[in-house]
Amino acid sequence: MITDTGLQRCPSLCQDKKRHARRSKLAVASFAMLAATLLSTVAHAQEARSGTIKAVLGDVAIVRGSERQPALSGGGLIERDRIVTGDTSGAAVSLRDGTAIVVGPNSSVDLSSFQYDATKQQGSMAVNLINGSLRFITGLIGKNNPDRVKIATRTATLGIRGTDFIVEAP
Amino acid sequence: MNRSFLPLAMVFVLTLAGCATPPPPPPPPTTRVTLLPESNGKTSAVNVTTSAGEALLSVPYQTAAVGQVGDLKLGATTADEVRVQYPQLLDLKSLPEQRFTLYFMEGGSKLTADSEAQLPVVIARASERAGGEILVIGHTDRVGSVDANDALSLKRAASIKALLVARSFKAELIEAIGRGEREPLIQTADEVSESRNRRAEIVVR
Repeated sequence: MITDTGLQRCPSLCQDKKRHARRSKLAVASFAMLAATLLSTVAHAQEARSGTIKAVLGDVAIVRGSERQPALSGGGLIERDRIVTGDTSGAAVSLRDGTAIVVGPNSSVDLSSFQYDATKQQGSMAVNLINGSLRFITGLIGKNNPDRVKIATRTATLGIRGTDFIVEAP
Repeated sequence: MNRSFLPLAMVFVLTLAGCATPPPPPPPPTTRVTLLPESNGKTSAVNVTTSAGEALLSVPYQTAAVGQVGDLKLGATTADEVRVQYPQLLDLKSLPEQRFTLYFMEGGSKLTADSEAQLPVVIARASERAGGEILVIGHTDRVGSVDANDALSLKRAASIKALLVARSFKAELIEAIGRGEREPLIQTADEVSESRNRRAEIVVR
């Protein structure tokens, strides 16, 4: 079915190519403008979440770029956020695929990357434990793409196989 | 036997080096991994890779300690020790998710009366959780193309999301997902109309 659609569309695509050659300068300019508009829209709109902060205990902050905000239950988590906890503190987050991460006291955890297609239930993620401890309970990415889940400390990389575990990097 | 002898030999050498003063305590591991049992009783495992090698933890409460040079030492702990060592990691774990199934009237995005009556229950369950979220996962039967069913299932999910938002549940805590015809409740051949597959699953977590 996909091939059929591709064949039908080919002639019109080929004609388009000629027109595109003539208009390429214009196209580049308008593409740049479109990209700039899209980028500023994304920056101003609420960021698409990778996860949600659940329980928060004690002193917990989310570091996003150069900003540090107290973590709130129900708040969002996006790629490249760092979760930082103080003494006797901790936080639980759920990622969009259902992965649950619990962060222990005196910890720094980076959600280094997160991609997820909820329709196909496929994706990838990387979590870095800078220091402290975390518990990781795998979700659908871990179930469907276990090789694309990376949990790392300074000295070790963990590979998962349908797992609930604790990592500590004192 | 050889395997366990090597770390012992290293500890011995380190102790000799610090012989003039009382021997310092051994350095703590740089990483420690503890496998926990799965709540559903299924088998699970975690693989630990370092610059010096790798180890597989496949038994609940098995541990791996990583030394300064990536050396791996396997061990074991117990549920009681884990509770003492990591109280927050056990206490803060979220409740298990709850699921509901809602059904659509034929050929559209309108819920049956019974299903619509469940919406307040869904919101109540989500509201009593810390950071409670609602996932609305739309499904179709196998009539129509995969792409068309992806779009239809997302439309159905979005219509339920709108109903939940109208009942004052925060939009950013609801995700509408279209799974199309990938997960039929009742297996059918392609192009078969089946009302039980025209549904939305609600996951509260």
